[in-house]
Amino acid sequence: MDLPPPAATDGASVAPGQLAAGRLRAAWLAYAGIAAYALLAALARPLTLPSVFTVLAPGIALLWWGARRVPLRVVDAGRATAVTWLGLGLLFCAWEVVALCTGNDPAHPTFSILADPALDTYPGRVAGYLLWLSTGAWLVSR
Amino acid sequence: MIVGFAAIIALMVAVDLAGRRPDRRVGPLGTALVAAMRGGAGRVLVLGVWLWLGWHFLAR
Repeated sequence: MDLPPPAATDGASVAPGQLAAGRLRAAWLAYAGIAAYALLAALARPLTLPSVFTVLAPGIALLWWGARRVPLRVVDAGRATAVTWLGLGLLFCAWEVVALCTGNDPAHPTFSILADPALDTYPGRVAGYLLWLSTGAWLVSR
Repeated sequence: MIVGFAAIIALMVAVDLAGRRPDRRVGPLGTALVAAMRGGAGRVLVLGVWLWLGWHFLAR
């Protein structure tokens, strides 16, 4: 995870070694925070009020922060990249709609039904929160 | 259904891995997401989808 460099508050320049160490420390703190949050949040079972809070609290905070943040760098992925990934995303969505329309049952499961057995367990939810929060932290740090 | 999901995810992984080669034409998923987040609307859209995924799989 690339986190923004720490700001020099006294006007003095920061040595590259200090900058790298600061970024590494910030990244480790972020990872530790995400891991601790995942271990606690996964105690909340889906479809309960605590689970609503454990998702919406970091979700809305990261959305608010990430939406206001100025991108670190401007990337032009190119037309081929955009079209390919948009196409793959639409293909996945189309398959999901097919599953939904043909039964949405164990014989014709949507991706949600396939994921439910894993997310019904505590380790599965810990992994889910780790994946979701890490992705969110990565996205807002772009 | 399961085979279809597995095939699509495998295709995504393959495209992403191929996109990390130096002679690539199509970039990896991360590059596409970062490019989509260049503007304010794109950032809100990508982060909104991320929030919905968390809601859908972990809370609903």
